[in-house]
Amino acid sequence: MRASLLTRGLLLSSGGWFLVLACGARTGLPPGRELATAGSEGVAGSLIEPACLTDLDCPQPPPGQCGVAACTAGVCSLELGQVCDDGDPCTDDACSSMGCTFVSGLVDADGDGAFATGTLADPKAALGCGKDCDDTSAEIFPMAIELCDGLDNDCNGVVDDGAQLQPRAMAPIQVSPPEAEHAEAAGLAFDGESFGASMTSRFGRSQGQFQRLTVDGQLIDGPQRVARVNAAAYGGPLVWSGERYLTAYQDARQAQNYEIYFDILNRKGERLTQDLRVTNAEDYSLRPSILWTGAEGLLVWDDRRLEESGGVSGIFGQRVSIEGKLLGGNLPLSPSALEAENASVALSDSGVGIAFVSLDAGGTSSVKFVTTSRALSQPSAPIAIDFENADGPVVTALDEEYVVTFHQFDGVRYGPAIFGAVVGKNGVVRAPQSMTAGASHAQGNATYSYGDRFVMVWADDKDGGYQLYAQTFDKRLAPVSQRLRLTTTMTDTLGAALAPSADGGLGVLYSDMNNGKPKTFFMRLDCKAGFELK
Amino acid sequence: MSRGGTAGVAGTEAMPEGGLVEPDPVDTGCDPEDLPPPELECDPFTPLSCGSGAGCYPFVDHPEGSGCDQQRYGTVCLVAGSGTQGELCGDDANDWCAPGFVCVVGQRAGKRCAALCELGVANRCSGGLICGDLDVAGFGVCG
Repeated sequence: MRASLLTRGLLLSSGGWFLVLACGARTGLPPGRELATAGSEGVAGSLIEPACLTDLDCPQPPPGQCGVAACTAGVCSLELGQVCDDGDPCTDDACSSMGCTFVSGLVDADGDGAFATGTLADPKAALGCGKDCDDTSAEIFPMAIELCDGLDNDCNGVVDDGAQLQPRAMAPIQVSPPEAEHAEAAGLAFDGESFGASMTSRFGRSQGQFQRLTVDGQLIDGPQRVARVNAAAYGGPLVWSGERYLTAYQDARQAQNYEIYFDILNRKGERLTQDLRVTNAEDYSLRPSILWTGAEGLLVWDDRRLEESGGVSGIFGQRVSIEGKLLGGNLPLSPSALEAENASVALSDSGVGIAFVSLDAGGTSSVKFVTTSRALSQPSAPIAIDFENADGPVVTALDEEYVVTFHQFDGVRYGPAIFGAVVGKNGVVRAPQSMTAGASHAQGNATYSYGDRFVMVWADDKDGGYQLYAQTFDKRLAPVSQRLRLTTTMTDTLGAALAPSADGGLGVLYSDMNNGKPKTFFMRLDCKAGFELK
Repeated sequence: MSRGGTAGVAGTEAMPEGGLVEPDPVDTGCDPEDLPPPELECDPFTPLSCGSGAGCYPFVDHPEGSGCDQQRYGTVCLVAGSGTQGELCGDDANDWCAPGFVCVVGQRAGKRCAALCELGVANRCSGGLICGDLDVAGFGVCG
């Protein structure tokens, strides 16, 4: 929340209007009041009220000037004195009972040795008194090391200039248990100390598992099973609330179809609540996404409850509390007549952005975008992102705008690139453009937003077979880093999930498809400062 | 989420020095049961394993019950449909998939026919598709 600033030099008087004195200016009495001169008489039949009752009712000296305002027999007077201005913008000048005072206004509130740009009266004012562009953080000062954190750490006016993500020189770490028949990456989050990884592992039947990892990806203890049921259950996305992990997933334990469930986990992945059933709908409820708003969890998924009555699939949402309770009921987020599936969600300063795939009457897919409040209420009318056979959308919030990245899939063939479109805060969509090149096929992407730019990890076959790549883009989808190759496996690698760590780097969880028996792996991207874009 | 011994208090409590009281983990769930053997009437990878005019399709029956029941799965012979990779399909016999394909949800928007593939062998899917897991044990589909 931005604190309101008191602009130096202007004050609001107790009457709610402000006065600036100049030669020949009005005295600035409140409207409707007149300054009565000595000996004046009022107009016959009207009453002239006294101009003042106390000294405080009278115009005061302007800031930085001494003077005396007085109310005498209902009449204001103002005797102006010395103007207190030593000509140095870095001193706080004032008039006191001792006369003018000129006090050094330099301030170093965060104790990092660099003075703030303004003075004590307004530390953020661009007066040039100091060079610390953020005097609330001891990590930010001139000549500080620029980190990959969305902040101007060195106060040169540019955020993260020269900072680049680089794959750590380490062998990827297998996260899935060796005894699993196969395991696919489902979600990744960072709890301030360690990563939490979610995956779908198969031991005969599928089950969702949680594995805790150090910041370097080393396994901490063994995997925790999330839902303990005897039907197929899947791993789902993870978010960290600051105290707990929240996760949502689909499983087929009852009702003869897949329903959405929600759990709260501790750092070890142990459940702290009973599984919370989120949906009770006909036909399959699938592919939940989850957000943490800072106060509650938001779940979004696709649902076929209306198909039984002749309707189509749609996007639904649900609010959940940190105590694991449903807040209200399931909320429709897409129009009932619009066939919609496969939603992605992102939280911005203004609300929630949701991208999903919709089908036209002929079965051709496209991507549409809606916004809602943080309570998932009042979904906007869908905005179309005009691109035939768009699929697999991922939405990323960048300040007040959104970026939607997607691949192209007609059911038979994947397109050659990952594409992106910017949705402005006024809802206007800039024409989609290709963000990758050189491949025959590209599919799947995951993103992480730094506010003014974002990192995208995707899979394409530019180098033969699907491998994972990463690149950073700005709000106009222009690359601001080189394309990085992340994996060099003999088989396809897909399905990345990303999470930032405290050191400015990113954790990457992904699936090595291993000829149809995938295993889940983890790798690190580290933030390195000072590289030049070539 | 109530902590034992503090009835009426939801969520976590703050200890006097500002730390959080960690709730006890919940260790409930179903008694584990072995996966039942598949009910295999035919082999989807053997042409004509169901005879002329029929196709062999994997199936899964999800449980209704209390939340601890198991799924039944296997393969079954059905009248052959005509849908191929990526085409819309449904429960109606006229919308069914051709032999060698199965109607799936979750791969792409809508219910679609997807080519069956064998897990654990080199990928034989085309068009940039790869063989991925199906929720019927032992079978994959190109997606």
